[in-house]
Amino acid sequence: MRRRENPLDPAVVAELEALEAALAGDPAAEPQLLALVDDVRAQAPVMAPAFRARLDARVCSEFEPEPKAAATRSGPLARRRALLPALGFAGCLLAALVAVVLVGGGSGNDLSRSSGGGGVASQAQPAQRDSSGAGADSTTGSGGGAELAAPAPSKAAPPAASGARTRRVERTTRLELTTTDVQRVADRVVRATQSVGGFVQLSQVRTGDGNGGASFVVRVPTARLDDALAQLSKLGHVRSMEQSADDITGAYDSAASRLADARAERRGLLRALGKATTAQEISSLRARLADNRRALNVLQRGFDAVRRRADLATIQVDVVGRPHKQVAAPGGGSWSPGDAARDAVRVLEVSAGVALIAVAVLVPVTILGGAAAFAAGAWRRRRREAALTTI
Amino acid sequence: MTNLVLVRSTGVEQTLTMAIDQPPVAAAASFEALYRGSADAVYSYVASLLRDRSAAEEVTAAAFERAFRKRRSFDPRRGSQRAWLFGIARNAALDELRRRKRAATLTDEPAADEPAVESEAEAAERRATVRAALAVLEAHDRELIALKFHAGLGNAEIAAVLGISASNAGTRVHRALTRLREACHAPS
Repeated sequence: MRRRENPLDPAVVAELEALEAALAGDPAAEPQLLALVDDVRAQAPVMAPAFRARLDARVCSEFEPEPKAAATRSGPLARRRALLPALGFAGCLLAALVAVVLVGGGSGNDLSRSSGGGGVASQAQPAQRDSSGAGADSTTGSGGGAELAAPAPSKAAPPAASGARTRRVERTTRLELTTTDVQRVADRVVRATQSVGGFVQLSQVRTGDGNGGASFVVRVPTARLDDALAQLSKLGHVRSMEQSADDITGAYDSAASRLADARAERRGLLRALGKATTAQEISSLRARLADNRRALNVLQRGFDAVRRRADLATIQVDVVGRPHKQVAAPGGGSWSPGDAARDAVRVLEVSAGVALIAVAVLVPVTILGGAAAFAAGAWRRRRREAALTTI
Repeated sequence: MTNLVLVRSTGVEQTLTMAIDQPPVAAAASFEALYRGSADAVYSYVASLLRDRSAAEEVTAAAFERAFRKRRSFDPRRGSQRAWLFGIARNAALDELRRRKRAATLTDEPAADEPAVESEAEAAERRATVRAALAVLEAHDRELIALKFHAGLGNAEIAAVLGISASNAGTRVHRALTRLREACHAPS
């Protein structure tokens, strides 16, 4: 590090030159300064001959560790020093972990929306848990997912009254596939949906000269969402996949509660009707029962709709046609130089991505480590200088 | 071969001559020469800092051992080998001071040899005055006096040892010399 040099005062320079002359033993030097130099040099501490001999021996032996010295080095100070590299490494590792966690946490939303099979498996786990809970509270057999294997509890037990509150989650997934054979993929989408116990709610297929497409909205049991996505993803190249989860526990519990209230009211009206004695009372109660029946039907439909949202996941499948020559030819077709060039570019992209991530992790770690080393050095220098000032 | 530091005081006995652009291996080979030429000065400097003979011996030995272990890391572009060695000795001495948390007094330091000739009484009185003046100097000034008078380092080398600029080193040396003179002339 280059330091800024301030010019010395000419008087100071002259005195320093006089001192140098005196130190050099110049006879023309200032006599008082010569005497001072001699007197100060006479005060120089002199090495004891015995120590000089010991030090000579150690230098000749190139400082081979003596038994006593070796024993001393195994003391706490030596152990502390031995631990320094490990502590430094641990600190860097911790900083790297923090950086990775921060980076990972910051892009969590993006990752959940990214395409790839890994995202399917990770997202499907909570869906399975939630869907199993959703099916367990089925009150009627009129649900769209007729093949739900979950046992149905008794009608008397309102779902919201169960001990641990089960979360109801509505799952929606959008899957975009590209293929060269839209019709074939469209057929297989239907078959895959049916194989997991789902049904096609909406379908739209357009075929053309390589630029056709198809769009499906399929409903599958939430418990089978994982299987469905796995099968659908194999039908073509997954260009993108978006998954969303909407917690509808509040709506579900509210609908169940209103339904239970209406049923309780109906039971009360029926009991009152059994005890009614006058014609007017009976007529009034029957009218109220009719109103209650209508309300009960409405509430039942509402509850079923909410329950279906939890029991059945929605998958929107968009199939995009591609010209045949642009296909990467996973199984058939020839591997052309163009394909090789695209693969090479892809490899370079992936390599650059990995390198970028590595740099993103290493740069902060290096900066932190450098700053820590600089601070430690400055702190050590300060403590040393402080030791000198306390003499 | 050339004189390593041209501005070094020529009156000092431990003048070291060595090649400036020494490769690491050659620098390692010349370690013994460095030791032979600097051992007394290093001890004198360390003892002036610590003011404790036994501690100075330990620190001097530790400094040379440390320098021996790190001899391959010496970079001639960053200063002379002698300045590098005194930097190591300084750090070792300050570490020792910090560890001990005390400043030992120079109680066991024997008085300097008395002059054999000239006016014995006058010289003895003068040197006693200088010794007393040195004793009252602050540690920073005493260190500079040791580096300049005992070790014979030039201002550039002192700057390298202390980690300051050469002009700053010159200023400090001048200031220390002024204080030493004032202390010598101060009424006892």
